[in-house]
Amino acid sequence: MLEYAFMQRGLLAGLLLGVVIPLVGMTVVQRRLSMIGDALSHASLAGVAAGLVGGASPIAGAIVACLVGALCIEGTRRALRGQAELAVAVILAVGVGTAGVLSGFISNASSLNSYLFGSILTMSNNEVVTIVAVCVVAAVACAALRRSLFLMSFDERQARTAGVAVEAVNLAFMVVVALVVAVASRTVGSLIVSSMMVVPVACGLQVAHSWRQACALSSLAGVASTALGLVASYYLGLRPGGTIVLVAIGLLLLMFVVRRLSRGA
Amino acid sequence: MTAVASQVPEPRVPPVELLGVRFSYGREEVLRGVDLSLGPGEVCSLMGDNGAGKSTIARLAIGELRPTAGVVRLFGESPSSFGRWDLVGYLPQLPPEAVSRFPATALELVSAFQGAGARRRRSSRTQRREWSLHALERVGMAGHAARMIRELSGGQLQRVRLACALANGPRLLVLDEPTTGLDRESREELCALVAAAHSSSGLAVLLVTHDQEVIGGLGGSVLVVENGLVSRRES
Repeated sequence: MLEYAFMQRGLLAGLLLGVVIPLVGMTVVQRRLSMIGDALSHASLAGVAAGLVGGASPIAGAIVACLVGALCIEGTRRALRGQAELAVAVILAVGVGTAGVLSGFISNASSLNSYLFGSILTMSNNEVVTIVAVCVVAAVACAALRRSLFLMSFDERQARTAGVAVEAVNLAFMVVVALVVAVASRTVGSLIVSSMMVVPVACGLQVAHSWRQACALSSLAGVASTALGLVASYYLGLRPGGTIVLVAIGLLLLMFVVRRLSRGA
Repeated sequence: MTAVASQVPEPRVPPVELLGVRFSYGREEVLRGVDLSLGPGEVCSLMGDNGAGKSTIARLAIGELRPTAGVVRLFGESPSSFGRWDLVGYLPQLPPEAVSRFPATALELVSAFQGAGARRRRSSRTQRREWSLHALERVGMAGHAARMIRELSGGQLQRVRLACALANGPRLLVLDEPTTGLDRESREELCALVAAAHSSSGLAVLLVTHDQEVIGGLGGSVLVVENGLVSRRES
């Protein structure tokens, strides 16, 4: 399996995203922003469609669309405090609508479909380089902002009086989420990326006994489901994106059982 | 500006001053010219009916809200440009579900609040751990340091949150309904801890509460918030 260059590229990109998506997802889940992954992934689809129509790189289109979507969500969230859900739903609707309209102008519909469910095994070297760069940026940002993100996840008001520049950190974090969602839509797919932001985190939360453990176990669950999903998809001839998520769901069920047994013991 | 922000305020500078402060939520004016001054080491309790604006005053004092008119000063500075957050401990109301789903230990929570600004940058993780354990010890929770906060009782959780608020040795402690939902014993314990912190370190305390026993336990002045104004309650 590993003698094929496409599998090597797929595994490299998949495993890096397996670490980074749950790392970002931990803060997203704790701040009850899970819908943001959905909204941005739909915005990324609009960017992909724009790229395909305009003859530009779809992944570049996805990055631009996700960044614009993230800034719109953050701007609306600040303007209409307490109505962040509305901003997220509006961006999701704009993404779906734009992607739907633009898809009518794409000559080869299968190219857009590959972004709906991902095509981790057909990535070019340039795309892998982009994914590696985004993963490094996201991991460094999460590490550098870990205290701020922890405090903001607990309570934004107390975070502010603990010296956290809440608005600036919010903006930086939204940019990171946008970048991760944009590149992940190429690999696991726009319809699946938000699941990868939540399900591995849910796995980690079942058995973790601290924040640090929860972060580590979430990323471990992300890596394990990506690796197992890719191997299973290779040998069983399945679509990789969907297989990865189903493996993650299987892990979550296993964690439920482990938790129940450990409580019973 | 950074140099100014990092200076320690004069000991005589009042931690909190509100001068002619007005505030509205939308079209509804909640505060209509509030004057309040909390001196160093003083205790001030704010009482009043639900919706009278007690918590709003606390939130204005620490810059979480901005007044529609009037002046707010935190250690002599505008809260929006204030940089010495290590001087402020804040214990806001928190919905129970915010805690029940948060996957952190008591030690992790206190450590995150430990050492704001330059003090944190200069300290090692081991130092912060020691400081945090000491902060938990002061509130009688060192034995629960490794427990997840969602596993703690309401009284234990408030003591851990108080340890967070006191972690940096602040000069001002702002408490917003700290005893809500606690049983009598837990209320008394929390009150005793705040009183001990006040008397041992000359901490100024701004307390928002309905709880007469807490007010009685802490002493100090009592202000009643009513019809958008504050008035001193004679004891």
